Amino acid sequence: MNRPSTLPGAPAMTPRVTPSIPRIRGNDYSSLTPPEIGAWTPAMRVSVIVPAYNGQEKLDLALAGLAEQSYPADLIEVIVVDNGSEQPLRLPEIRPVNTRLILCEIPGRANARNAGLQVATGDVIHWLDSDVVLDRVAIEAHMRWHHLAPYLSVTSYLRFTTVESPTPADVIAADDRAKLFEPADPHEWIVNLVESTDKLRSAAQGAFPLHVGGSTSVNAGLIKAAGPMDEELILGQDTEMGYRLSEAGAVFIPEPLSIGYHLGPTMRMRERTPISRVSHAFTPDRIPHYRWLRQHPTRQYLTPYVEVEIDVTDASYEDVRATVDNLLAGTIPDLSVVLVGPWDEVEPEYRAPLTNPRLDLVLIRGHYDGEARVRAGGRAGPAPYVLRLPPGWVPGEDSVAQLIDLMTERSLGLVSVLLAERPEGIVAARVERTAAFARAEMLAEEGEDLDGVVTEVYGSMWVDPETYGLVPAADASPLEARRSAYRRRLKEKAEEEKRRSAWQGELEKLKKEGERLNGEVKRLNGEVKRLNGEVKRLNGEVERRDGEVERLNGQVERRDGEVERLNGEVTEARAEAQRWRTSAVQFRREIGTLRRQISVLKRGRGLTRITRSGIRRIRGLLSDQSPPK
Amino acid sequence: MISPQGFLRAPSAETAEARWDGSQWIISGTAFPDGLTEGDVAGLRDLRDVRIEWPQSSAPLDVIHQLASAGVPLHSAAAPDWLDPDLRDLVTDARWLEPEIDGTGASLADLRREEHSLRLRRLGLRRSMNTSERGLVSVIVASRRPALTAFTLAQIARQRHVDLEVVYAAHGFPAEVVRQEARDFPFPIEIVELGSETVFGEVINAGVARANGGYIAKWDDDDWYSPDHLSDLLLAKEYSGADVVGMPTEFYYLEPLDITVRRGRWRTEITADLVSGATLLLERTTFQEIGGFQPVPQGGDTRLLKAIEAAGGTIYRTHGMGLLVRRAATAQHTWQPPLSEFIRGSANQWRGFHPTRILEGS
Repeated sequence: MNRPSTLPGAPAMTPRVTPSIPRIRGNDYSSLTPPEIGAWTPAMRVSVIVPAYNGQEKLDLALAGLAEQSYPADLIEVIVVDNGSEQPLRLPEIRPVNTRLILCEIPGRANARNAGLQVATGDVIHWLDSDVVLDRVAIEAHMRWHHLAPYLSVTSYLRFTTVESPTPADVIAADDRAKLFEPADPHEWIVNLVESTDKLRSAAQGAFPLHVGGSTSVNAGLIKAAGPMDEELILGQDTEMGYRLSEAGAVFIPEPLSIGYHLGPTMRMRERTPISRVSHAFTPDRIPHYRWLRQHPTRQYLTPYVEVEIDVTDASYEDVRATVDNLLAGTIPDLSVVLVGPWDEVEPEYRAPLTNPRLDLVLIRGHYDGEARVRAGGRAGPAPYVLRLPPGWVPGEDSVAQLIDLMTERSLGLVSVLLAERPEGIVAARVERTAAFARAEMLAEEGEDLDGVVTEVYGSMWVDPETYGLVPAADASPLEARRSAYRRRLKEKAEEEKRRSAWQGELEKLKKEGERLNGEVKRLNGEVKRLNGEVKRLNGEVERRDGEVERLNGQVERRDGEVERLNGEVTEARAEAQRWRTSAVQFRREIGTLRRQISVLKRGRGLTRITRSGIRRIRGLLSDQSPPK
Repeated sequence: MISPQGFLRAPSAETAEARWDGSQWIISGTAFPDGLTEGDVAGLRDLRDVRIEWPQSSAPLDVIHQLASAGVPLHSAAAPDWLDPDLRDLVTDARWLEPEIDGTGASLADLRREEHSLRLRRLGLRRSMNTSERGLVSVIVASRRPALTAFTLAQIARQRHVDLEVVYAAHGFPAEVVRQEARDFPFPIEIVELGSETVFGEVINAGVARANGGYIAKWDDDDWYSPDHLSDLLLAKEYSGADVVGMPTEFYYLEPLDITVRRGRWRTEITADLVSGATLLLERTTFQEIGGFQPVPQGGDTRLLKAIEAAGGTIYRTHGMGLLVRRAATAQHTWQPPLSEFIRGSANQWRGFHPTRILEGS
């Protein structure tokens, strides 16, 4: 298997760089192999931020949990943030060496965490709740991951314990802290999420809810990129920050070796419904991935699902309108448009408006001035998907949604639509996954093509415009106003109803006809039955007649015999008649002879008398014995 | 004859085991004391692979060579020393079993399996057939693009297991250009110069008229071919017995987008009516019997295939793992289908120039 170095004529390829940072695809972190616990040399510093409000006893236990960690104490910084407790909190004696207490008077966990974040100096930020006691290796189990890549968010397995609390001294004395807190309940929905997604490796855009404040650590640089906690939220801040971290390129890792014992049952277990009620009021505005919470057909949200960037610099007003108007009428309502152009060079010309060399830009800006979803200037920002579309190309009503579907189904970072091939180059539209490009920016080596890195960390694909319904403006079908759409729907519904009721009538008629036919069938069945009887009877009759016929045949036979006999008699009679005729002829001859004799005798006189008597006799004979006719 | 005919590219069954029981080979529990029949092979086609348990000491390999010739993917975690090194390297090569995805996240398992199968086929089939001794193959190149001459000749120069000569038709440019590029060319080459007004079909015929080989192989000036391209065609010619053999076009390098795509999941190793014109191989006498190429500027390949079929001949389509067709920018080519046609329904995509391992010669 000799392998030539390169294929002849292969296009020049940028030499493949050896990435200095490992490249994780989607959320599939299986390419990272963390070292065994206790078998490596840590170097990174972690800041554990513990916001607390009242609950000194639990805080004492949580801090005892942070003491005696397997991770080097000089690499751990603990910042306790007293969020205005009624009785000011104090630092107990049993605590990590580097522990500080700061005060944040503004109520709210987000404020307290941000206050801690501001003073934190670690390479990694570890959010820890003040009622969570960590297992002895918990910090190390997190940190072994953070040493592998700078874009990770690692979460402990939280277990909810209701056993009687030990003392802080018990906590640091215990070899195995499980003995102090078990039996405990698992964090059910995290366990479900993790188990249903191959330990979150197949979760892609669905991994971010793992970012829970109970015990999660995040690379500090990643937090810097994503921004601090949202202080406007009263609940769901962790999830919201998880979303922003994912958009900044984060990978979310559940770490079963890092166990945190939550003192008491979970809040969610106690108050699930009211919490969902509050978080469902706030989070949909900020987390576009929660599509099921964004079912309204038209309303807008703080963070759009898709932002469309259109470079209108040299575009005609008509082309831009065709593109933008169709985008705004598509099946993704939470979509906004950024028009990129030399806006600061565009000045309206009031005296002779039509002579303005930038007239089309003036018209474009003026036309969309009142449309909140379209803005002239700026760049796409927080949306999870960014579509870059050349003006004059028009997506169909569902085109953008279908492109996004393709990206979510295949976890792609980039989909390019080949719109046209021109002598001067390729015309294409692109959908970019913000999270993929943010990660690629982080990972790209000097001069490396970003799309290539995106392909490595998510995947990329070219598609054809026909399949996704993108057409040039000239081929686009006109948009329908909502009211005419509504009327058309109504009309269609009415027609449908009419058709339905016509069908209903027809159905009734057919039903009746069916019933009638059933009756007919029944009647005919009766008739058949009767006729069968008749046939039977007639068969009897036929049989009887047959007998009669036989009898008559016998008679006929007998008569035939009679006829034969009579025929014989007739023949006999005929034969006799023949005989008589023959006799008659003979007699005539005799008579003739006798007449001649008489004549002879007349001449001789003497014999006259005798002959006369002879004639008499003969005449008598003739009259008595004339032959039958 | 046991051959790759009927190879299944997307198996639905898992793996079977082959072992030597001391006197015979047992595959999936069935003993094959007298070797395999074509029917036996057909029964193994749906398997992803056959795992071989080797005996400690040497055993007859007839059945194993048959499996290899058939292209049944074979694998062993380890192989004994008594096995010949080529076979041992191949069955223990586990690269094809490593999970791999393309640029869009689609699995490459079937592609890598087919490449592995192809290496085994060559090993098995070449045992009984030395393709270098099958006679001279005349490679016919008709090119309008002097700029591609070096590229084309380099593709042909790396052909192996074959005895070849080249007839290079310089179509509308001076023969001298080719002569210059062919100075170090390792095979015999004849150069024909034809005016640009000559239609393509006639250019091919002019090339064939100067050919000395028993076989004619058509060659495109801008595509990439595996080093075993001609040898693979000769093997297929032998085991298929067809009058024309060729390959499907599956892999394209789309130059304007700088991506490689794989499209059209053709059935291969089958008698077919369509093969790529860039891969035709037939006997010179067959070519002459059907009257050569028709004097048309385009579509000559298809007409040739139709003529073969009309004359009662058969066409065989072997694998397409070693061919990568270039789709250049529109302006540079006479006629080309729109780029979007290559993208629509493509089964795989890679960024950049991404040849198969077979094409790279491994």
